[in-house]
Amino acid sequence: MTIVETALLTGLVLGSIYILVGVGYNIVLITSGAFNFAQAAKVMLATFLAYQFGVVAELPTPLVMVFGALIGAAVGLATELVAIRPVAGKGLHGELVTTVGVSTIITGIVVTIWGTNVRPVNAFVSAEVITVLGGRITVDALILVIVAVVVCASVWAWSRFTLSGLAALAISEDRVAATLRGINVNRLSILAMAGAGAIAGAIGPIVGTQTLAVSTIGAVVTLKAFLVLIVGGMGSFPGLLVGGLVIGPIESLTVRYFGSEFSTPVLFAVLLIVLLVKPEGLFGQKIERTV
Amino acid sequence: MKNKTNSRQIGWRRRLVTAISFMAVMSVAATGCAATSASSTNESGKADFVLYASLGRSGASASFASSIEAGINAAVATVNDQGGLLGRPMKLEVENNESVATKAVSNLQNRLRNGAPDLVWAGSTSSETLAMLSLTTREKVIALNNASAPQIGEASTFPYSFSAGVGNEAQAQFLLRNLKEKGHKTIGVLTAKGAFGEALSSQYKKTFEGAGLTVIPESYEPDAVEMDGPLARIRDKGPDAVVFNDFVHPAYILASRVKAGMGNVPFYGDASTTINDMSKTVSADQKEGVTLMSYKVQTTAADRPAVKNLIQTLNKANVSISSGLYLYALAYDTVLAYANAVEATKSTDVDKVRTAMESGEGKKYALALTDNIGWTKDVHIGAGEDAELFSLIPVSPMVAGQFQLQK
Repeated sequence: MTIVETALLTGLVLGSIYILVGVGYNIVLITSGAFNFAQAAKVMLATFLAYQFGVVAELPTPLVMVFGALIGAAVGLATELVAIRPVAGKGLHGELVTTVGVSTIITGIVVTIWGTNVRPVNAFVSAEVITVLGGRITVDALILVIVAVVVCASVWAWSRFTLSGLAALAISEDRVAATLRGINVNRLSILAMAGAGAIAGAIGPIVGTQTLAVSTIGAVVTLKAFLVLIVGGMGSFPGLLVGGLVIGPIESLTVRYFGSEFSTPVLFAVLLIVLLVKPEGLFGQKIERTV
Repeated sequence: MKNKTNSRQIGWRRRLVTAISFMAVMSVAATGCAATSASSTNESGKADFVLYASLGRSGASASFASSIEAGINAAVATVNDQGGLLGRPMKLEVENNESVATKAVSNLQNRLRNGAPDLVWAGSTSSETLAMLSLTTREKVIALNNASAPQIGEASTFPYSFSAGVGNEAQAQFLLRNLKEKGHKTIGVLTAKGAFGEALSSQYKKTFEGAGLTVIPESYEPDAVEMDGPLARIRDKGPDAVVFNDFVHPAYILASRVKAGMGNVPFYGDASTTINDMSKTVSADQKEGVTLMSYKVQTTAADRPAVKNLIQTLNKANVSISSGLYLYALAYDTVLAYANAVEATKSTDVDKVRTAMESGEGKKYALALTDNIGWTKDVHIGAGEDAELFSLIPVSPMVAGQFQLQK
């Protein structure tokens, strides 16, 4: 076993969590033009649902994922109607504040129902540690990495190769023009929020194998996933994937070799360098404006 | 004529306003008197002994403030069952400080304006306690609390502050004795970043190195979800054992321990790791070789009569014991130790009671944690005999505040 490989694998697992949260950010971003800060809180809620349905009610994991997806979709829908629609497109980016509010409400509800103690989440497949490419990783962590890549690639394929996905991209390009071309912007925004919520809800049993169910996890992941999104390029799924798979290992290698106190400064240094060299992010698109 | 009417109208208006103002003042005064009267006397005719407690019922410290409040309530019930404090029924007034130190201070200032309470419970965290102590010291009111930070225990700075919270040194001494018994010489110390973790890390380093052991200190970010990096760095230096600290999610450390290939290195969790039950969040291989340091009071091996009384009193009050029994016992013991001192001196004079508390006088009420909290003229936090306070246990499930140890 070599130390570097294990640190790299740990980083890939961290990056995968950021990717799975970032997928939700991107879906909402391209359809509503809004940044949904409540996405990580929904993933946190999903880990508690995984505890409630999986550990307490002892339901099979696929059913737990279905329930998680349904509740996540409902929360996404409510977020769109209450926190995004009333303020989106008004030029003030009020959704930055309202979605933080939703995140706070979700956290408050979770703490009220389940308290602040850490709750267990069942193993998805197995919590056994195995050796992969010379590094040590649990089976569930490996599955998390695979799921993150598959989910990100699938959503990217949806946005590129399906009619609704192309419509979403059209909205992100020009909301007014898309409306004039007959795209039902409001309906697509609702569907996107519900979809992002469903993804967040469904991945709870997988993310929970690494984070367990703990109410503070939302705040931690929100910041890092946002950082990954900016590095990769806002709205870009390939950027999100690359960003997550780069930022995670940088974080874990920094902690491994320099100490945990250096991880946040190093990550923000990377962010600054990317913004200086390529302000739109690694895979972001330059937007031309007529003034 | 018109002027005359106007002046008459103004005259009436003035009289009306004066009359209404007078009535308002009288009714406010009457309400105030009634409230004071209701709060200061009772059926027995003796004035209530008011314990004002400022606790974070909401906010960051809400999770354990509820345990502290239940412990205080249990102590008050125990005293009242014995006829009160010098015959005066104890009355608990709880005010929510929202886990904010400035709020705790302004609440207390408002309370002091209506007259100082007989006794204060000063906050549920060290920051709340520190903020409130300047006021209670100035007012010469004894301020009980659950702090274990050394500066709060300095009697020269806060002469009227008392806590049964056990200082870091007692924890370090207990761990040292057990590490030496097992023959461990090189010790990894993994603590959370932040004031509390760093204070513990320095204490462990000082105590262990003072006894000739080699220490490998490492820390982790409190919001980290894995501790692979810090543990791998400890592993590089070949420790015989690792002492770790984590209030919130010690399970992350034990998961990383297996990944870091340290399954054969004994791990010792300090007292922070037994505040809550982690048995359900770790797998069998993660538990193996892990020993936790727990207050004896929160194990099923605890057989002190006061522990039984505490549990019975909590049950009688329908309290659902949500965390380790230590938090409840900490508040319970601190209040009862004060009551012991009052009964011993037959007085509530702060200086007499303070001296009695420093010398551990009074045995009317049995304590749950230890017979001797260890307060001295110089130190007002718990410094009792560590062997009496702690024991080492395997990772075990907790039921109603106590770890279920196999016999």
